[in-house]
Amino acid sequence: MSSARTLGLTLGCATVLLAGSLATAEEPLHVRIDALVAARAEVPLAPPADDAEFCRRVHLDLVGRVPTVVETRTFLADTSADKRTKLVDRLLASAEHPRHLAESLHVELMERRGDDEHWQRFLRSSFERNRPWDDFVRAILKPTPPQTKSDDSDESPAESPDVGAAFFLTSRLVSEGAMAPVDVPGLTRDVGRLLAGVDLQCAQCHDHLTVDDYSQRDFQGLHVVFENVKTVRGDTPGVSEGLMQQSKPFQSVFTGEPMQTGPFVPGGREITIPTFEKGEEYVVAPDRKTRSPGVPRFSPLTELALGLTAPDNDLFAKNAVNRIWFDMLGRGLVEPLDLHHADNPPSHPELLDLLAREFVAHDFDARWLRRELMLTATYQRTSRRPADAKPPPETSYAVALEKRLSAEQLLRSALIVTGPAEATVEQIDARLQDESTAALKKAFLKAFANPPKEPEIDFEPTVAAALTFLNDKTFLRLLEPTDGHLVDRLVKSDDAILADELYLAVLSRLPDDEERAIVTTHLAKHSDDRPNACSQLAWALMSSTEFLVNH
Amino acid sequence: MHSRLCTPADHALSRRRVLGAFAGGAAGLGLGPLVRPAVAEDLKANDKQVLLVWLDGGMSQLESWDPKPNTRFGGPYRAIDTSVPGLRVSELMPKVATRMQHLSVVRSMKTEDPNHSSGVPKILRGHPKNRGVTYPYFGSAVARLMGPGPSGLPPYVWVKPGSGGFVSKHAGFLGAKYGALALGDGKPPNNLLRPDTIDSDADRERNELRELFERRYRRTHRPGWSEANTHVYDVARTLMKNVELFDESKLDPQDVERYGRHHLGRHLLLARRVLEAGVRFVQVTSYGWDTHGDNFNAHARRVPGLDQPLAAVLDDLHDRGMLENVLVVVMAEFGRTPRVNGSVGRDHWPNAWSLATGGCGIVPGQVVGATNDDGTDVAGTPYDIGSLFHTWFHALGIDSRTAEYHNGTQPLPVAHDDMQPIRELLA
Amino acid sequence: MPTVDEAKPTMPVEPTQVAEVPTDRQIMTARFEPGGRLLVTAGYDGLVRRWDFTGEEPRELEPLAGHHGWIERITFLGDDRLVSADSWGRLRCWSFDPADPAGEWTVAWDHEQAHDGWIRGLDVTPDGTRVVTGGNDRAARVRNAADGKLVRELPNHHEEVHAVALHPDGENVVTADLRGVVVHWSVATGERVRAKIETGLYFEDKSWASPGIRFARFEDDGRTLVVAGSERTATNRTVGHPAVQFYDWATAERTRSLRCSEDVSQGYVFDLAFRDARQLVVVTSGQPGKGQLLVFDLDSLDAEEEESAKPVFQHTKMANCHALAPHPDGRRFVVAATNKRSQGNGAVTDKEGRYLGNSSPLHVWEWPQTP
Repeated sequence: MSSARTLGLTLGCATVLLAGSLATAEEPLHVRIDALVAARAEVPLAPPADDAEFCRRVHLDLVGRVPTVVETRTFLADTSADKRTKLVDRLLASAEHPRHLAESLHVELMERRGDDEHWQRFLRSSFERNRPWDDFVRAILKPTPPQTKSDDSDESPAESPDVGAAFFLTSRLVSEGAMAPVDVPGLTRDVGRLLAGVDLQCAQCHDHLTVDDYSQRDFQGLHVVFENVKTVRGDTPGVSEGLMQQSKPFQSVFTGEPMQTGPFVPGGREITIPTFEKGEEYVVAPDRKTRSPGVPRFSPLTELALGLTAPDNDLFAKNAVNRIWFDMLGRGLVEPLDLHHADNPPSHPELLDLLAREFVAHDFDARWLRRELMLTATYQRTSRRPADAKPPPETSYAVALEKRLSAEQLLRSALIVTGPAEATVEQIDARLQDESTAALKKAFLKAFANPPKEPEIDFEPTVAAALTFLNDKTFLRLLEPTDGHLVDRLVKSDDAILADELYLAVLSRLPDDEERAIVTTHLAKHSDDRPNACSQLAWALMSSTEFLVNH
Repeated sequence: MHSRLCTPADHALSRRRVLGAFAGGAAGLGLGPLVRPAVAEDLKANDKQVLLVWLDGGMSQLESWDPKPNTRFGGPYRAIDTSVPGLRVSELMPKVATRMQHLSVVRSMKTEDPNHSSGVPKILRGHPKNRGVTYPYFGSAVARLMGPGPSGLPPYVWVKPGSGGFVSKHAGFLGAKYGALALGDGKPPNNLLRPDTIDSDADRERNELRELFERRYRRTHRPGWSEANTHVYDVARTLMKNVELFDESKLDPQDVERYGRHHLGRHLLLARRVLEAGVRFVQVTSYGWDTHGDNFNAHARRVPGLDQPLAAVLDDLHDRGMLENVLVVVMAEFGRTPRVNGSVGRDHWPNAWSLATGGCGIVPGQVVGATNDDGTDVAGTPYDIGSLFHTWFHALGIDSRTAEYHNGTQPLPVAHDDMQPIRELLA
Repeated sequence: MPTVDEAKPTMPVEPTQVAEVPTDRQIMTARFEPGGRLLVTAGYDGLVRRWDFTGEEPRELEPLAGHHGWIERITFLGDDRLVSADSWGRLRCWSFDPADPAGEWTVAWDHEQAHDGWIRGLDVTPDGTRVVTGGNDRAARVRNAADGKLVRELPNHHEEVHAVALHPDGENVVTADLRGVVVHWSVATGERVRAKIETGLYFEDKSWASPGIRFARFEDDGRTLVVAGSERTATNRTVGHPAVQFYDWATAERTRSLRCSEDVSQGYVFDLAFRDARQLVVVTSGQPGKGQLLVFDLDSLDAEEEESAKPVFQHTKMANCHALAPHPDGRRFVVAATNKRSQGNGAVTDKEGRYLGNSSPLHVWEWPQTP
């Protein structure tokens, strides 16, 4: 088996550059994207989403919640031609956008492993200033040292917002008991999977059996980086690195052939381990008395952080844009998201190349990329297809694909839907933070979040979720006729507009005539118990798939 | 679990999505795997059921089904006669010993994986050939192949200590809906009881509305997601109708005594009730069999803890005439090493272990295969778990050599293609 | 509590290992013949094995057959008999010529079913008149040592009896069960005397229960009861701290509780011995692969000490120590410990592919000469 074969060498030349042949480089990115998608579609493309569908979708994607009734009405009433672009820009500039990204990236990067206030602060501050993605990843991979309160003062020093970044590593460097030591291979796998789009787990003990691009050396070279990393005590998450002076031997369980590797960057190259004069190995020497591990002059974490995020690291940029594309469009150009390799080509290779190139050229500006994606006709297509028609292939993006909503998105939306019509974003936030919402939050997490360490990709309804909506008292309380809340408003509203109120609130759209008839019939049948009838209607809409997914 | 080794799951989940793409968007729920239709039709009328007792961590074959008294690795315990002449088991299972006419023992199990994290899924999946997909666990497979049956209850119920919930992972490529409904500590799922404020008419009405809205949405969107959502509501509501299954005050005190008040006792009693209610497949898990230390004191407690409720459930299934239709399997991911380590424990041993099975037409009172005199290897033909899956599928009326799952466009055999059923166990 | 002779100088406490004798099977117990010429061991092979200790190197004699399963306990009875108990319920008394212990041994008496199954505890009075046994059949039995005849049946324990001790007066017995409960019995009446002692040497969680007591013996002419085994951890993990407890026999009060190690994986005290009155020698076996030889200076330890006691000598190079046999000469002792690397999943084979078992090498130690 050739030990020269690595991710760095194969993937870089794996794709053919077609981009630019269909649209000129001067045109905005979203125009060029549409051209590339259209060129590969072998089926008719669906028409654009109507305003209501678009409005709900954009809110869920950018601010993690459905629009309020007021927001929906305002948008529907707006007659300006560029109102969609304006809405996208307004939401991108809102304070809610970084809050939503923090929530969403937390789920993506931590996979329900737990939480940490410093980590949250790091996420929020990073997305608030639209920190370039490469810089964000460097902060995670080479975290700033932890901060500790000094002994002679109760005052904490002003905390750098980056101190929490170490939580990505520290939460994965936890021992789970004597028989389950720190899972360094798991950390190695996660870094490859989440930050480079390559799941190297199956190349740990031998070259990957089914993916030619993944060699054992890729895994071992990344593993080497983390073997020396330990968590350090402090008031904030932090890691230290040990001394690395020589490359590490490993062998395949199949061939037994002895091999060596130093730190190796996915998509990059092997890092030469420098040699130092004795006594010169450390910037800060370790101190046994204070149990300080010291700071070695050579930091594999720094090398990894720099190498992985280098502008010429194809894998890094492609993973980043593929995941953002997945977030916006509901399906990765490369699927699964963490299996980028030559035998698993993207559905649109030239598009992936284009996105990666432009992302790097725009200094890894994710906000810019999201905006461009949202302006595409591809993003703005309707998710509705002609009734009972054969579905077009997902890879054609001919119809907008539905997307899973996180427990957080659903909870926030449920509060908006069922609460007072005029509630502001700040009021919703306050309610979410309030003690009284804790039980509901817990119920939503149990019902809609995956177990720890499982990525949340597909819509996976559960019996637990159904039972929560059917019987959970904290949830059903939302549908009681509390003063000014949804059901109360419906009870008090005129039959003629009740259906409109209901649909606008719950599904962010107006009902059609059939739906109005369903509502009217139900109300007429239960004229003796109008509150209950209204509550049932709202409940039935909220428990249907139309509410539970982003479409 | 520590993620040291790559498992078929890792190769596979990802592959499922790739294949989905090739198949034109069938990766979602509901559109996924189909069984060859004729097979599914045949099985609908079939009233066969399964009870799987899973001894997680690995029970020692030497302290149970394959004693080697007074040999180098035989341990301290004696062997005793059973109701089947010539068949002896460990003195730690005196009650089951008198019911061996209902069971058969396979003593020549030779499987591949000595690790819990990968061994458990391999055994529970029947360790088929690697097709790049994650195969379902036995319970999910039976749920898919045979369906829930007329009860409408979830086809795959898992009674276990600890937490409960819906465990979709067991379903592998079949998709979440074939996962296990786990009854943690034998308790019903959360929120099973309808609040007093909603009477049954109101409950029916709100669900009729929900279904109406769901159908409208499904007409113009890919049906898979909507079908999955509808399915979980159907299951939830069927469970709500069977709430009395979980009412311990309805238990016969004599049953409680016969089965024992320990976890496995209470859980096997619940399993019997769940089978009586018509659930297709019930798995009961007992944890803590991983006796790397103090194996013999541990087995002195644990094996009798299996013996008592296993004997009781065999009696009950037999008395009710259910044993003709209920397949019983008692197994773990492996056995335990013949050699005793310094911690007076036995370590993991896939090399030559035993399991017991019976009911549903499995020929009873058989001893299949043997180990050598000191139990350090299989003497004669070894069987891998694939052969057992073929055997069990056949007992359930599934021709495992021709039945196939369809994963998108990919046909997949339901059990290892190179293996055969064990003829001695099938009449 | 053993009495302390104030005038005695402090004894040197650093023994050295002088030999390691390979064996081919695993050993559960080892005891020196009172004359010090023979070491007798027994274990998983169901054989009583005798080692001549009179020469340069210990030399094994012909093993004695007749038992089945495992022999967990042996004890010498006076200077010319040995009682051995196995896991199939056999209790056998062997007789030999004290002038020639390496000579022929004969069976003095024998009970094939002294218990229904595994005999876990065995003790005799110092005057060699009575024998007590306890077993997994949840019974203890007192016998006349001369002919093995049953003197008193102490049946119907709630749990398996894991250790027994016979008071030097021959009239009082304690049994220690699976759950770490010590019960005092009168041989004369067969009744329970006084309240049970809850030692706490036991642990249990949802899926696991481990017996904590492995050892019980009267010391100090019957004034002190010593029990030993494993103490549960704060988190109730399934392995515990090796521990020894001392009880004042007159009051049944616990006078000392000695947690031998803070490291929970150290597991159990399997055997112990006193060196004169002031030093306690214990051997432990944990999981995985750990075992220790520890010497404690009882004088220097706070009697109230509940926390971990600091040993004056600690040796960690033997794996999984199961038996400790002090030589009657007071200068030597033997530790039987499982061979290293005894753990491992799957088949462990030699170069020819033969399946390998484990064994318990005998480690011979010597105390330094008193100056």
